[in-house]
Amino acid sequence: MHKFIKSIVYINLIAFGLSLSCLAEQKQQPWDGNRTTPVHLIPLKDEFDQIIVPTESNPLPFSARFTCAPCHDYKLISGGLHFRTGAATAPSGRAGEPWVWVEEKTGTLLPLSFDRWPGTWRPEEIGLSAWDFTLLFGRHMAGGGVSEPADESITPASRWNVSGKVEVNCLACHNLSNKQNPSEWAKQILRQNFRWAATAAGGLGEVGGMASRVGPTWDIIDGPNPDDTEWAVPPFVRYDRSLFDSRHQAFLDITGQPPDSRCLACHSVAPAAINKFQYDADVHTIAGLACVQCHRHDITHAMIRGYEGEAEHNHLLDGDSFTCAGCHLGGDPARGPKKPAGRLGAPFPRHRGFPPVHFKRLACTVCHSGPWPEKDLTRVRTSRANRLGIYGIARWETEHPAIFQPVYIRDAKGKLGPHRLLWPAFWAEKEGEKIRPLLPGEVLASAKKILEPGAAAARILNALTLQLEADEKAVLLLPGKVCALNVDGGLSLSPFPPPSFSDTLLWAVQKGDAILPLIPDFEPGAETLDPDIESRLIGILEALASLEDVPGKPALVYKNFLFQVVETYLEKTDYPGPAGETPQLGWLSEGKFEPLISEFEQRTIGRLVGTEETLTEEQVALVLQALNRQNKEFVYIASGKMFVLGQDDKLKALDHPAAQPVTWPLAHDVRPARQSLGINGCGDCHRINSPFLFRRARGTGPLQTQHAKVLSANSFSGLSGIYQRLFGLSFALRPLFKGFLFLTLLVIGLILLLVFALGLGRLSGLLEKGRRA
Amino acid sequence: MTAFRVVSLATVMVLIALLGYRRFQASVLLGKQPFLSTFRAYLFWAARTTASLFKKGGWGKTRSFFHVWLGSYPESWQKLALSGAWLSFFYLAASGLGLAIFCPRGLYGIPLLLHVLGGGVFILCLTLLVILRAKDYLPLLPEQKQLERRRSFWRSFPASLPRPILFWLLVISGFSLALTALLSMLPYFAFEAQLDLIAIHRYSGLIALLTAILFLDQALPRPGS
Repeated sequence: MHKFIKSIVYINLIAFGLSLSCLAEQKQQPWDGNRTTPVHLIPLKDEFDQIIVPTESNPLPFSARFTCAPCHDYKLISGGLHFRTGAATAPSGRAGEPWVWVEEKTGTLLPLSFDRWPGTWRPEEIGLSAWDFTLLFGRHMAGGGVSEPADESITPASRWNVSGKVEVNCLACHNLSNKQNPSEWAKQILRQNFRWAATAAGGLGEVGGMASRVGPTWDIIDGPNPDDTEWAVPPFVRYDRSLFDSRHQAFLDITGQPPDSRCLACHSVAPAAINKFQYDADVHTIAGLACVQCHRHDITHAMIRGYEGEAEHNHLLDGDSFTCAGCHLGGDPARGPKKPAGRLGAPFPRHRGFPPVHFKRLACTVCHSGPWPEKDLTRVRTSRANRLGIYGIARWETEHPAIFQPVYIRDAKGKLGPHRLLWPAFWAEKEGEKIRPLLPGEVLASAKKILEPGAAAARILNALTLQLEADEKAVLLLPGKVCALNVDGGLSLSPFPPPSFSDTLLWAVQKGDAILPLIPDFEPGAETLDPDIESRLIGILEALASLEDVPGKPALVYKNFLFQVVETYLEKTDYPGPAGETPQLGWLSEGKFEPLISEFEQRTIGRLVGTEETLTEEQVALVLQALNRQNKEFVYIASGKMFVLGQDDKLKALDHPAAQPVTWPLAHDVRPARQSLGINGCGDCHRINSPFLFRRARGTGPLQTQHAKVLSANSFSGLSGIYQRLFGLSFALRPLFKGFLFLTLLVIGLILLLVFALGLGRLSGLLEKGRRA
Repeated sequence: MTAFRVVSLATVMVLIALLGYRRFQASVLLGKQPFLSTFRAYLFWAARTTASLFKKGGWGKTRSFFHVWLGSYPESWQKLALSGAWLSFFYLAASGLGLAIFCPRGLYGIPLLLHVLGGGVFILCLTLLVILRAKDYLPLLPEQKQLERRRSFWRSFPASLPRPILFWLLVISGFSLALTALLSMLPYFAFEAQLDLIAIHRYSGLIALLTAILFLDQALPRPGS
């Protein structure tokens, strides 16, 4: 009996092994050797594995999982680099660009990563669910991973049942059609039309409706909502029928080697201060190479990133043959140009005059990648952090986070490499030395008014503008500034200079190129007011009265008179308070007259409008006071410092590890050899005030502060400043030293030659013969 | 680099041990002893001799030896050049070989800066010494007649020959050290050539050190002399 059980177990094990090997065979389809891409005239399938018939009413969106499945293993692909965000088993490898949660009102720039890269926070640590993460960053994600959660890991507050999951979007990279539209993808993700996004972005059809407006119980099989055809319209798709043939097979213009534009949709990085025409691309791109010629992968989509030591994390690699050295030096750098060349016909660099220690201690990218080190770090914008590449009427891109490059930092193997840098900014709860970032919503709940100083002014400007002539616009005058409403309903700096009366009046009208007083001058004590003035005053006060959640009744104080609208009439009464020399608008509450916006708001708007910052130190102190009422300690981290409230309720800036800048290596853009560091000699880096070693990185962020952290470039590199200055100084004397060495060598060499000649003369007897003669 | 570490450590240790053994033989009267007991006695002698350098009076002895040695050079220029050459050479050998052998990163940082500075001092002093002393080490070879008279070429060399040979060997290795340092600073040599230059520099340094040890052994008074 025992033997029987044993044999059954063995048979089962063998069968299991065989089935595994068959599975592996199926997954790793061997390449037949043909280098073309098959024409993809294929039936589209929906998420129920049903063929899509575009002429049917209410067809479902296409599903990559089932459409591509007959030939490509979806499960295998979904483990690829681009689709494993948040996957527990994902090997992280070298640090990459973190996802940055940008929330301007609260001054939050929170770097997030599922990979525990230094300085980043795991989304679940701060309470972000897969749903939240997808809504925040799905705009630049390729689907899969965290945006396609397993049913058992779905959190209660999410709406995956309505929106569907974000499947791996194969078309995002492989669709060669010019209709492939990343902006459409972002728009559909924002509308929570997750399962429709690939169809819309791929240009396969037109997607309407918004899942975000549909009730939480709606399901895709429910179809259209007959009760609401205007607001809560469930998402639907109308396929482009010209793509389909009579057998309902769609032509997808698929390529195995995606063009650069597909990569750049999510991986663009460009200097912030230049125009598009000024931008020089990577030298490899200019030479005609495509991204995918270096960044390759097989069906597993384990994309080769191309850094040294990647083989530890990528099963496709067994060495460094896809690194800079792999192409430019070949297998064995020590063998020089005589060895077989590297990949892609890359030129062999001779590096004449470079001490070999440079190749041991520096990555190739130090000298060849990123911008030339100038006096200041170069500010760049990246697709994912600054929301680039999403086009429409609304402005999607953000100024924050401010990302700088290059700072040179050592990797795990001690090699210096160029990195990008950003200074995190966020509110946090502090317990001992431990920091827990707060979600922006938590901060807003406690201190919304403090964090939205321009909201009241914007509402007032909007209300005033509505009752002005069509060519007039209400503006706010602050010391040295004219503030106007922008398209997003916020305040922006008007390009017009402040008028002469800006010291005395707060509210004005912009008409054409002129800034005029909102209330023209009049005699308040006159028996009867000019009818035009009267109607203007009534209009303004009524417009203000239409605002909700205001502290009192709108009124105008001018000299010793108070004007109010009472039952559509302008009522004038004596004003016992201090006489105003100019007409002042305000709120009358319990007999007390207050200006329309408080002094705090005026001060804060005056400081912030027209700048990149969104917070003042005064606001931070007030918010911390509001948060600390919860009997816990809260801090604000920004510009490399941790801001805390002292015993005297004054703000203090302290150092803290959580405030340190977050950095990640950069590899592109690669500059041509003639623009590489060292082309002008050692002095490119080794001199007494070399920007490479001594320029400074000043903490930046949403906070307007003078207490920002300043770090020297050499501190990032772990190099001693004094030694590097001494070493730099030695290069100033080096030409002299070379000349001195040459002279001494000449003298010794000549004497050696003489001695050698003498020895030869003695040996040959020539000298003795000469002496005898 | 590993090969250089092994070769330099082995050759320096073997040479010092051999020279020490010669002095041990000359200073201690030993009958026919088994190898192990001779070896033990040698080790004991070596330890005692080394320790005596650090004992009270050891430093004085060393200093007086250098005084005597310098005294044999008549001109102050020569004394200065000799002192400069030996002192800088001592630092160059300690920093260059010491760090190359015992520090995985090799020579770097402040020691490297001082090494370059010391190299400048050494080559200047060596140049002065070559100018001032070359004539004293010239009669390398016997007269032609003597050569013809003697049956063997090697036997024809005078007994004082090792010192001139060591002198010129030191000059040649010093020349090679300075030349490789200069060439590596010029923008003409590619990566592989730079590696070769470093290797030549290292081995020249090793040869210079071995020569200097032999030279010092020649100059130091023999036991019983």
